[in-house]
Amino acid sequence: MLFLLALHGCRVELGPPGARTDGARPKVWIYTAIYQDQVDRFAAAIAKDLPGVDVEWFQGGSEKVAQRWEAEHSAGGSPACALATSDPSWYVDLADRGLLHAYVSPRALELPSAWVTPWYAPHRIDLMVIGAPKEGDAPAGFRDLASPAWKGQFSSGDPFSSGTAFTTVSAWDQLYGQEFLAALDENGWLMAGGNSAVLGRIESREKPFGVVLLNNLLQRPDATRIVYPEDGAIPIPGPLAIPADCREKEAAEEVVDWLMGATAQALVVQSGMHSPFPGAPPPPGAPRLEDIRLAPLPETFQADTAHRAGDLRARLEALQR
Amino acid sequence: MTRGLVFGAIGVLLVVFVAVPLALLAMGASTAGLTLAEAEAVGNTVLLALGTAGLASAAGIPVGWVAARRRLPKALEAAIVLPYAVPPYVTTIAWILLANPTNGILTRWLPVDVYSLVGMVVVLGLHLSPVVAMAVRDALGRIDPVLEEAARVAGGGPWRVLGSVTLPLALPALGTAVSFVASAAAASFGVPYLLGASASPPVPVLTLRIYRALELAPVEGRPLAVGLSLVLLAVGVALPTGLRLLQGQRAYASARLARPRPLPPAGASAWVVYGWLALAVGLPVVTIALTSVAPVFGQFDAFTTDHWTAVLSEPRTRGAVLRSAVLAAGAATVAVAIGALLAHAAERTPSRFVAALVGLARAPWAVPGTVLALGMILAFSQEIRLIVAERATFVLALADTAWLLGIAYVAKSLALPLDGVRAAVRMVDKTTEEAARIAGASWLRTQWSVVLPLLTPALLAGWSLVFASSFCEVSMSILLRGPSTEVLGTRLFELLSYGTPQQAAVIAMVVVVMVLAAGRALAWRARWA
Repeated sequence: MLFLLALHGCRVELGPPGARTDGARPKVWIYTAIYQDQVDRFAAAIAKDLPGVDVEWFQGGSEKVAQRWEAEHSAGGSPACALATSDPSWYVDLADRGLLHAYVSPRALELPSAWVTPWYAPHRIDLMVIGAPKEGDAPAGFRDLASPAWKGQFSSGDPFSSGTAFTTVSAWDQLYGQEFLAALDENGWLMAGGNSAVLGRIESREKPFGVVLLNNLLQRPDATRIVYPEDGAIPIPGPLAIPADCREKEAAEEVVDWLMGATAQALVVQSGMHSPFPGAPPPPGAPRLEDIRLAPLPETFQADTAHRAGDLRARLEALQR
Repeated sequence: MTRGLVFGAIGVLLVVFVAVPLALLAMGASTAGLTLAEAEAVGNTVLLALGTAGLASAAGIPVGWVAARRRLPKALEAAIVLPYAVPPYVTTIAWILLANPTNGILTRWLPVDVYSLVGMVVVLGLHLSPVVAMAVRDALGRIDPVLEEAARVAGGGPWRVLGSVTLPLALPALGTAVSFVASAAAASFGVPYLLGASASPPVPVLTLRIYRALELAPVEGRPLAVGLSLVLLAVGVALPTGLRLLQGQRAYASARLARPRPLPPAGASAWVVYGWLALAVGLPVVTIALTSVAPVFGQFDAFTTDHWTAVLSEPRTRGAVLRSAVLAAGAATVAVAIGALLAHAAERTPSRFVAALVGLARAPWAVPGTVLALGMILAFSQEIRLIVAERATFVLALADTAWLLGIAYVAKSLALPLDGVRAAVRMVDKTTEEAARIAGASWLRTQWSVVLPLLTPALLAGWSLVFASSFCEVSMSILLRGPSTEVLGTRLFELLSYGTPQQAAVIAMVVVVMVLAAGRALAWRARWA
């Protein structure tokens, strides 16, 4: 085994240490939470549009990407030169710790100012809505979930392990207060798994109503119905950022510009997510972003969510007991 | 000399690939932030481990006895490992469809709420029962039937013979298997995640607390997660030690070298195996199979082959199956080789050095896969460079390679063959080996010609358990895979997370078929041996 490892896991570089041996093209690793089949589409397009950059992808759930990046960072540095996941709180935290490279893509200036910071800006928007069976009544909004009519019939993702579920609960906490969370709990709120688990419970009718990402529901038009909550869907921006320890910052900026550009944004929409750019076409089966009522969250919402995370988790844990 | 070199190499491997990653993690461990919930989680973890060990024994001992003492159809023999081979994540989804309190297919006939500690014990106990069944089968297979016949001739009834001759002879293997099941249950994640977290109120166990600490706060949560992993490690060590103390030091050398006698036909006792398989694997696998052809998840009123076509026509699936098969087979072979050598040394030539190696080899089993993978990233995400005279650099670059996955699989599952083979060695009379050495055979020759044939059943059992646990491993693979090293576990996770449960069910069925095929191949190999 040692011999085989030596043969395949090791290499010998001749010349002064640090000399580049892998050709002239800079390598940019993108760590992303977009789905693998979508990554394949992005990879093919970017290879065509940016032949001067060698782009590699690591795909995983937002939380796994964060775990891997943080572990690599602790070990001395991550190869990642672009982060594109869907847990905005993590980017707030990274920026607070000074771990992001300050860069605003020229195209980001077209985005609503509340979404743009010097370190990151969203390149896609997902929405937390309500999923329901094709037929029958359904809750009209998130507040309805506290009504006895829906007792024991709804679920959400686990806010202790899913970033999008946590962002949603944080929005409810800010909009409706702790009393609403307690009322949901009294009404049989099941919080478990991720968005796919919520969707599974809707389809199997185990919990026929679920708080789930629009993107998931758009993939199952035959089995589920989308309810755009009358009290406003909760936007979950997918930030895009360059880590400060990236060794190929120029190439990374090129990649970020590309991901903000027209080709990538068309792929975002094709993949079932909204583009954050005003006037962009909607994903197939969904209205335009401007035509969807969004929850009236303050501009500081993402930062507040990141900074109050510990307190909210403690209160949720107390609720579950 | 040869022996020294072999154990020196094993020592280097264990230090580099087990001790260093675990030490890097442990340096940042903290128990700050521990709350009452963690104390409750420790209690639930112990209950889960003991309950699972009890149920797995109750199910596994009769099955193992029938498999060892009766002639079963070959397909049935190969199927014994199946409940362990189907990923518990998928089996649990099947059990939720079958027994969830709202609209489970079998809920009205089942007295158990699947979303409870008891539900977790049942699902995990059935999943891990093959470990006990295979250990009992292999232990009984090594016992000379003359001993039991002598007891019967002396007037002992069947139960008396079972209680006073057969079971005591099989005790080392049984004790090892049961303690192994207990520590596996304590370190399990998929079942508690799907069942415990959905209970009302939730049933916290240590692995769930570790998962939550890491998922939302990868930086601040890591010290607590590692601290909890150390608690879990302590539970994983304390439980087997306690069980070993209960078992005592009784061990009887009883292995035979004679040709095995023909077994009587299974007759009605085959139904013990059929009944167990129906419950442990039949119900969930049929549910998974039906799910794989259901147009809508959980609704079985129509059928489609679309999911099969979509998954199997995808080149990534075929690549992942092939890669996983090669990695799992390689990991199983390496783990069995290292585990067997360590097991033999621990029993025959115990020393502090060997004891330290055994401790290192066993530790990763009690650590959750995610935590072990983080240790691997801490240790190997950077290239390790050795510069010679400013002109040449030797680089160890494991990040994102299939090598790192294979190493992680071996590290995680080394305890499986180690403990199984160790129990088998205890049953082999060491005068056999001494005779070979006196006759002039070298250490290597003695291992090859004398020890290996005697231990073959335990080695094959260990191989199939490592293969089964690595073939669709999820938690470490998600973090360690690179862009070109997709494996079946990551494909399964991707389909469960972003695809449909029906597509994930197709992958689960592929796993079932592959493990059955591997089981048949091993049975053929065993007959040939």
